Amino acid sequence: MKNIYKYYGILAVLLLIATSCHDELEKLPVSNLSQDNYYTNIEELGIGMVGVYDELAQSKDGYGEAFIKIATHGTHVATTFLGNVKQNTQAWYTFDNTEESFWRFWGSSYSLIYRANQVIDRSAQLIVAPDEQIVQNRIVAEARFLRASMYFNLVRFWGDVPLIKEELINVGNSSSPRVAAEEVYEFIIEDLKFAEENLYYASWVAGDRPSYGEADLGRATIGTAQGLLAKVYLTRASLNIDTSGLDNSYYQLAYDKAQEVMTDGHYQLEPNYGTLFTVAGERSHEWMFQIQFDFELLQPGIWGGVNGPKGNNKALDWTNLARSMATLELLNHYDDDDPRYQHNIAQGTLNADNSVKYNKNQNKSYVHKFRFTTKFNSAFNTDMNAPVMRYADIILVYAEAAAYLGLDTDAHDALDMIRDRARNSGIFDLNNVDFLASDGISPTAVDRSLTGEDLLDEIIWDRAKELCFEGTGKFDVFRYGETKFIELVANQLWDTDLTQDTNASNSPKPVPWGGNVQPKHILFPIPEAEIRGNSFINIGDNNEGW
Amino acid sequence: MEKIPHKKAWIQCFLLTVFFFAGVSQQIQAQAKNVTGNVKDESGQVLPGTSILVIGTSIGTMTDFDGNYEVRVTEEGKRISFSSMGYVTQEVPYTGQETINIVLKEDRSQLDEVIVVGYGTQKAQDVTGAIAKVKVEEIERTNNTTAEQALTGRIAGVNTTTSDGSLGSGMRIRIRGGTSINANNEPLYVIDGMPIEVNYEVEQGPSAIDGPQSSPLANLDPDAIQSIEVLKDASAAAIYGARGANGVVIITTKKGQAGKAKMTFDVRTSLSMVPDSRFVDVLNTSQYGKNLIDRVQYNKGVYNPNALITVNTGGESYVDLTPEEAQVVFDNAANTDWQDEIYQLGVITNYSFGVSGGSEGNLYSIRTSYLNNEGTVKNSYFKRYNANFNFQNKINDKFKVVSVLAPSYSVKRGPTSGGAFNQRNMGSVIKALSRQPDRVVGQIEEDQEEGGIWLDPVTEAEKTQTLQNTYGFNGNLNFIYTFSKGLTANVRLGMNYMDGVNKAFFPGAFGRGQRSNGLGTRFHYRNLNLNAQYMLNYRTAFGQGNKHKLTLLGGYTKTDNKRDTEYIQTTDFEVESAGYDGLHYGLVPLAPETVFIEKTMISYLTRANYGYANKYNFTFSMRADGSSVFINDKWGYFPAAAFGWNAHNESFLKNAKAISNLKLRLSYGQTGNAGIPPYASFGLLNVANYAYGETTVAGLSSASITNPDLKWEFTDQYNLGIDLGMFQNRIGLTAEVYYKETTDLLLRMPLPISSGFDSWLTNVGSVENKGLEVSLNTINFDGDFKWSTDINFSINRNKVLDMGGAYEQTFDDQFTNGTTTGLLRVGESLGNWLGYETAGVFTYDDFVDPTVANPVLKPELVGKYGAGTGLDPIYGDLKYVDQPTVPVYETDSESGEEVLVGYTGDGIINGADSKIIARTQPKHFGSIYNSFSYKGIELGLFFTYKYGFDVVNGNRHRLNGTGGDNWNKTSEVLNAWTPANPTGTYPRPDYLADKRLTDLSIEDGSFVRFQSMNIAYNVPSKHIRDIGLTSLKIYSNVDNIYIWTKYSGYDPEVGVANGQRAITSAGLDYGAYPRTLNVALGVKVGF
Repeated sequence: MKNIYKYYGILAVLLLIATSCHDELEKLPVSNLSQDNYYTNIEELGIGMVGVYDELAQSKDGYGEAFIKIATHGTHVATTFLGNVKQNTQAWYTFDNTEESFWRFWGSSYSLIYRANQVIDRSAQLIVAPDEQIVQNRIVAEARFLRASMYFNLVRFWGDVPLIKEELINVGNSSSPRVAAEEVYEFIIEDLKFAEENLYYASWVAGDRPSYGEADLGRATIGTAQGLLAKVYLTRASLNIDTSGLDNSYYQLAYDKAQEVMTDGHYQLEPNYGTLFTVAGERSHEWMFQIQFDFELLQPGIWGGVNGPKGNNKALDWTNLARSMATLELLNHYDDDDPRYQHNIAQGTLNADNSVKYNKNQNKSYVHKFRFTTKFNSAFNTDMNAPVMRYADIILVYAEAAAYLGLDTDAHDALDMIRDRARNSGIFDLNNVDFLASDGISPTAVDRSLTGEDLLDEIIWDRAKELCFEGTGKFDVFRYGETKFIELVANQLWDTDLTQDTNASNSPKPVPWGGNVQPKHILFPIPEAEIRGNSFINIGDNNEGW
Repeated sequence: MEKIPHKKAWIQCFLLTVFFFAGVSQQIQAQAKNVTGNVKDESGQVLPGTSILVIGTSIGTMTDFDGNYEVRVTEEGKRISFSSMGYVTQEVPYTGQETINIVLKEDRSQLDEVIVVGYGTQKAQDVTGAIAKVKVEEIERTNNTTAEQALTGRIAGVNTTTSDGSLGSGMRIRIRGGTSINANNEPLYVIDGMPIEVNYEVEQGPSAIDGPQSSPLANLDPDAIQSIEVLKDASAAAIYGARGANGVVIITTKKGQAGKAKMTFDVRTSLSMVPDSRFVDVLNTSQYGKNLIDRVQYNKGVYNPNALITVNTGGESYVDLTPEEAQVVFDNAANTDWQDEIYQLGVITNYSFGVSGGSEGNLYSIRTSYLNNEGTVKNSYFKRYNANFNFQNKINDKFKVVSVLAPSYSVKRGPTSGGAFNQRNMGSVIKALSRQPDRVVGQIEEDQEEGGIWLDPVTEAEKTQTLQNTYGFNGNLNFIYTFSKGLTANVRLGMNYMDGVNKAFFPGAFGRGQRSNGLGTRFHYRNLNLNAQYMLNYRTAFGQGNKHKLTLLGGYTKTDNKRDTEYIQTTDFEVESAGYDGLHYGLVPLAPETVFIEKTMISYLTRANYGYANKYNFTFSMRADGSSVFINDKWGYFPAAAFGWNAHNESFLKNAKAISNLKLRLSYGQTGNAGIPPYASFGLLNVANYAYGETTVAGLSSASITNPDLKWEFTDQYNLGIDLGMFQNRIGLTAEVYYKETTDLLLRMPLPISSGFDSWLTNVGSVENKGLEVSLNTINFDGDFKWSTDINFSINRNKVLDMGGAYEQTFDDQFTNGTTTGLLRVGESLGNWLGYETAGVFTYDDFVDPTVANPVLKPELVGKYGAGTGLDPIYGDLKYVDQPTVPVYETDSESGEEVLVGYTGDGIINGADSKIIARTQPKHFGSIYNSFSYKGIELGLFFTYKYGFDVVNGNRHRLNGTGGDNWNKTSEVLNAWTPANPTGTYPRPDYLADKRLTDLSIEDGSFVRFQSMNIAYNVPSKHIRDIGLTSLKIYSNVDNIYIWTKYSGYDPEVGVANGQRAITSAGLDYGAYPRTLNVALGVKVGF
């Protein structure tokens, strides 16, 4: 009898072991979805596409912060005024390839490319109903548009870059070699052509293809793709400007594409320049592409805070901690009564009554452009969208391409379009949140005798005056080639005290960081974080001089 | 002895209740004869409390205060055993004597001491691995609020670091160094047989506050602990396989002992304080004012005789004052010592009541305790309620059940410590240090520079609320069945459950809540850990005189972990008075976040111990672990082998009178580590919404990439140990040398960021740890006056051997705002910091013409030193060393070839100039404990030390380096370089902070600490027996008495970084709570 108990005991133990099946070691995530079994229908594809846009609005990476530093500071247009060396590396050219903004921007760009590749590749495996095909094509076109935008940024900043065309499945294949910039441009153009064919119209445009709804503000449109293509052609034309020279066939393509945008008329110049940079202006038909930021919707951006009016501690509505500063060169190029000058720059901080307080200790010309109040105590965050492309930019692309092609009249006409609008713009009044009439004098119409180099120089500063602090500055100085780059950036002047007229002997002198600017700065160095992980790129393979 | 009747009745009544709970009734004794007698030790002292057992029966008793006993023996021929802790147990045959008087011999050998090992126990002399033990007497010598504190300095090779001094805070315990970089480095804890993985992220949620971390063991009552065994080498720890790589800490709680019910009541009150002498030396108002004035009058290092000063001493504003006038204003302004304001006298009260006893086979121990710790920081407290039930019930001859049940509850309130970089999330300590001294309590003001409305730490501590409630249960049932002699089976079913709620509320008037007009958060977590163990154990002896001893163990275990969390956050409060319990009053809720994760581990284990003639012992073990956290490679196999040689039992040493114990141990084993988040192998989709215009649209994107081949981290460990006992064990020495190599590290490897990801978790690389541990125990005097000394000494060196081909990896920290300061480099140890080397400040001597405002650096210094500002250096700038990175060539005059002659700096201070500036691992550390006793009076003095390690003084970096002029500074700035103080060594007062971490913030942390002192007086029994007591001890423990160190912060033994940063940002002192000096007075009563 006792033995039976014993055996039962042993059996019971064995039973416990035997029944505990090892399937229990299969534990799948439950609170998160897995990418391995997603993208099974058009809705999921659409949700994945939203995730691609999401990368545009990451708080520190990409357009959230890094882009502002590397694209605007340290140009002929803008710099920073802080003593904080970490914030100043771009403006003062003290960076190396460990620079945080570099890896953040590079990483964010490629993260978006990964997400876009995922949508594009998964879409190719997805068979949808015939009536859903137009939606599917649009989604893929959006993905390809954003992918092209990222490559366009990368190739302009870094030249030859890794070209990743497919979703990364096996981490073993994570390294990719740099490919020639020409090849990257071909890929960008191919993507944008597809986007142009398959995107929708902006919500206010009716045509042979569907239009987005009003709620879709911020999605890429047919016009957006065309505009970007025009910019790509213009930049491609000046590729290798320092070695093999300019490529007229691309100027022609840029001219044609910009003209197409202008003829189509989907986008128009906003009557008042200042409106563009206000809350109301975010829906202006001049904006062709913006990164959408919204504080209440938990997608705040710091662009407005960094480039908005700087309030002093008495200011009520404008408590921004502005960080950007206009260069003396830009100040000197403006006429004093150019409404854009009065809108874009203030030589002091704002008082409680929104008057500008000139501070003897702060010899700074603050950027004053983006009129978005920061949310109460939210540091730099505002609702201000990040500007990527607006119609005025395309008109100036047209002008530049025309100038290169010798079509001076077209260039003059285009510049006058921009100047006319500026001249007739009111000046945005902080107190009344309204526009005061301008004097209708400045900027004057373009001198019709300008031609050749002189005309091109005029366009350089017309671009700067119109588009300053909108993230085009660095792209432009890089595009103009080494000689112009050094001339525009290194030979800057600064004034120790712009407002203190009692000290007349204090004449402008070269910026103290001008000596840091070298020819190698015409391209950024490949970030150390990329080289460290990429088996195809060695330390010696960096851009020239790095 | 006279009995007090009502007392006895009360006790019986209580015991009945106890046994009702235990579900067992006491066995009734048969009629028998009485034997009486007396028990003494060799010196003639009576031995109260000696256990007397009639072997083979359940009859037993204990001696009273005078060492007298009376026991009933049923039949002749039975043997009676007499045992008392610390004495050699004696057995006497009963032959009908009426009186048996016994003299027990003191047991110094401790060879028969029972050591708890994994899944069992062993006699000390059979142990083959490196196992160290902390006994209950040692635990009782210090005031421990948490169990880990009991380990401080006790064991060679165990490096304990308090993360900070806040209430119930955790400790970093590194047994023989850190083995891992990205996986868990904490040891495995086994509490009464129940393995518990310590995860410091346990209570971390997406909280609005970065608070200090509580110990996951904070709910354990340290007074309930009977012993702590630390399994250091692989042969001991390998039985825990995949979780043994960081060592194993086995905690055994108090059990009942056979005999009459023993009751103890212990009450202890401590005062805890932060002595003024340990305050960080910050500026007073006058000094602070001078610093502000100097910023203006010596701006950019040039004296401005016309400087006019604007002064705002919190409310009072003055403009255009001369420096002298401004100084007068400051001299007469408020002068608040914020450290004085925020710290107060803390009171810790501790009550515990325990009753234990039972007859042989049915033992019980019931304890309950209450701890109330009123913190040294205003408005903070920690309260804990514990109960601990331990029942051993012999159901019949074959079947026994051991039940350990420990429910607990704790509540902690307090302002936060540590905290993030900005003022918004800054903890109380950094606030107290940085608050301007010319402000007073309750002053609310806007701070333009920090972008918000702030107030002082005291008001914040009073007006913000944080509360952590933790409900815990830890328990297991062990069913033991003996099939036949030697063969037993046991099934142990255990559960460890933690249910915690962290609540916080920040009002909208200031600080954290201001941005959102009030901020309320609540994080709720439930962690369930279920463990089942099925074991077969066979023990036999055979051969001539049972020379061969064999023990076999085989088993199967399964562990399930489930974690379920919710996080709620609400903002915009019109109604604030309900605080964190009224989150529904907030108008704007954030989308709640819910996370459920689970993981399972299944294991098979087996072990064989073979002993021959008490001379040779062999241990072999093997464990197979399967874990759900891996996809393809779920199983890991962990073997171990060890050999022990008791040389003193060899005939050639039998006559060596001096040597009473000599043992050599040799072991090798493999252990593992799978301490990674449960779904780290999977490619997951995260929320990636985008707001188009005015609408947020749902989006998803990949957060990680699937790594199906992720597997275990393996550690190979070799250990050579020697135990030596001399002069009847009056000198005991244990020395160990070890070598550990961890391979297939679970390492986050950088990916090319062009892949879309910056890193992935994979198995590459290796780390080694090697070291030496010595512990020496001596009895210097033995007699009425006794003096003994325990010394521990440890050296551990670790080194990164390989990182998958990469030379180094850098990591950011949580306080230099995104600068990568953490460094892992092949050939270097873990825990090093990257930063900039400086050489004082630029003075007049460094410039060509020191009379001009924009001076030019002397040509010979160009390329050697630079300014961190990015501009040309000026007077009083911090002098960065421009590291020689650019090769210098010279044309050889003879051959005409370019020859490398050396290196120089590149003229710019940037990333290339950073180097290792701090090494946070101590070169060696140890402790010494001296114990004196004379007739019931005991005195113990305990010193610990660590030598040769750096501390990153984050407070200093933040205050002086990056805080603006509205931050107070430490007193170093008094020696700032100014035209008036050209020999100053600190950067000029207006030096613009560049936020880089420089060696200015690195300090040597070496210290000697007077860790504790314990005094006790055991009142002789003759004085107390009349009032019904069996023992009365009055004692005082004083902790953290004094520290000898050059470190300028509160305490060099600190490390506030969490998670992986605990390794890459080790030794960081940033807003850490100071450790307190505790003076405790206690009374322990037995009856």
